[in-house]
Amino acid sequence: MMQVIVSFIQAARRALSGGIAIETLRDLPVCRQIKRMGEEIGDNEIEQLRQLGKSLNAIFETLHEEQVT
Amino acid sequence: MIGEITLKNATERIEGPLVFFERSVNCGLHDAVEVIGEDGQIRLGRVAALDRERIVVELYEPTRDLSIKGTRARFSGRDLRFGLGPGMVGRILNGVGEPLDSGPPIPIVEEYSVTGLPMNPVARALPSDFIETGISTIDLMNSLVRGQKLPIFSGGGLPHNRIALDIASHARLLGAASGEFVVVFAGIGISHRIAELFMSVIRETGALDRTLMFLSLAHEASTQRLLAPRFALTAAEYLAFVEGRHVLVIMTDMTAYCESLREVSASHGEIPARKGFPGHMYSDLASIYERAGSLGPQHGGTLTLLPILTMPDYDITHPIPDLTGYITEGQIVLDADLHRKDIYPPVAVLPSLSRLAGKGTGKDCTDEDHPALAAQLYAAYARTQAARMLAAVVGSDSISPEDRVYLDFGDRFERELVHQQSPRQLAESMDIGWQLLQSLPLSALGRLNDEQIHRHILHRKDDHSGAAPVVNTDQKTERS
Repeated sequence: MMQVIVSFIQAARRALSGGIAIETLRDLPVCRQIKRMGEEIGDNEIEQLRQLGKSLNAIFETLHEEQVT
Repeated sequence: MIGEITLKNATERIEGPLVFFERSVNCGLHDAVEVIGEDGQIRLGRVAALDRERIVVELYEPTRDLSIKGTRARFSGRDLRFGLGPGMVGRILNGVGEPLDSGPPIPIVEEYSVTGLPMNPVARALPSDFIETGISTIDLMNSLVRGQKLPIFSGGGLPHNRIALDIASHARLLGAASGEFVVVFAGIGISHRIAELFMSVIRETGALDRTLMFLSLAHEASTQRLLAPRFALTAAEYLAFVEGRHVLVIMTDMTAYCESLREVSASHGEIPARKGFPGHMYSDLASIYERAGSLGPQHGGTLTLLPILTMPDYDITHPIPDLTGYITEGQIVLDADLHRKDIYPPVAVLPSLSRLAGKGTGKDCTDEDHPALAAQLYAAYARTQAARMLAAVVGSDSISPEDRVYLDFGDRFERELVHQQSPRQLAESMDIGWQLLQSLPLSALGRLNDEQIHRHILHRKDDHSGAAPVVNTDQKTERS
């Protein structure tokens, strides 16, 4: 769970320095998933957490591509 | 047990509530003693200290008419006991269990030690089951459960007596056990005016039928204040574990109790600790608070404790609230700023905490959405405090629209949920809570799951607007 949070912070920092608006990051649906992962996923569901981490990376990659184009 | 022994011409000196006798009889620490003056009046006391040469007896009644020459002492050879029996509920007694209401003596079935019997820790059942106090900030945000000890930290000038009376008058159990509910009310070191207020309000609201009151007035000996909570708890234990009822004990004011403890301790010549209070105050308070609890269904009832204390200078680090907080399972904190805003009851939600709320709320206890609603309101109100601090620094005109939403939420939270003119049922409190959350953006409702958002936020909004329910909860459905 901590890994997901740290990945999000790092990816968000990179996105901000790449010129993506903070409002765009704040409004990402994945933010709610991260906020509620304690309630809805739980510490023991490692695979689900891993999936969330992967989807996080994919979302930020898409954001970067959109920014470049 | 040594039988009853009367000691004559052995009085050495009398200091405040303490009488010093020569050590010419065998007795035990905390044994009950009757001290008889020249007037023949019997004054109750107990052995407070003893060594090879002398016995120190602390009296629970004034010593002003006692003389060294004519004072006798009768030692019973056993600890102080309280005779209890059926038919006690509805009575008003003084701090040592004597009737104040002109009623008949209490029918005694058995005598119980006022120090109580310590519960076997292994036999204790984990407190659960919700008690509705009628106060939204307690019921919804910091729920009280049967068998819990939850103090109210108040301050000078705050309406803790009114809160105590409101809880005593309106507290109830949910479900089938409601008929077995009894309130034991202990007023410790209270003035005549407050005692009259307590008695009249309890009578007028009809709550006396299920209330047993112990009133130890401020003019009584300070040592009596040390006994009042013990007599009240002995009666409560009898009602809970002999008669099998669910008992809520409200004790006000524990600060008066601790100050008496300091006074008596100084008279004994004990070395003072923090702020002059005795070093054993922690264990002394624990011997009172730890009498609350539940022994499981085989013993029938439960004993829930709601002690009220006034924090000197509103200082939560003062030894009285500090030591109390170590023993009890959370605290309800009253706030002078809310009181100045005419908000009643002025419960400061953020520093308040009920450690056992999770055991008595949710599915099968109150409402399945209750814990999530409480968590969401707490989180949003905490954000309000941050917005208020920011507004105090940069000015309310300069804060972001998002922070302004939280400022408005905080004001409404205090005016609509914290403030209440009359007691509320939990369902009413929850309804107000859901309405308040409707003013927040959906992205802020991280403590609620999607289903709760649909059921309580979007549906309510649609009911008012007449629009179809919105299914998606991401940022696209966010209300402006």
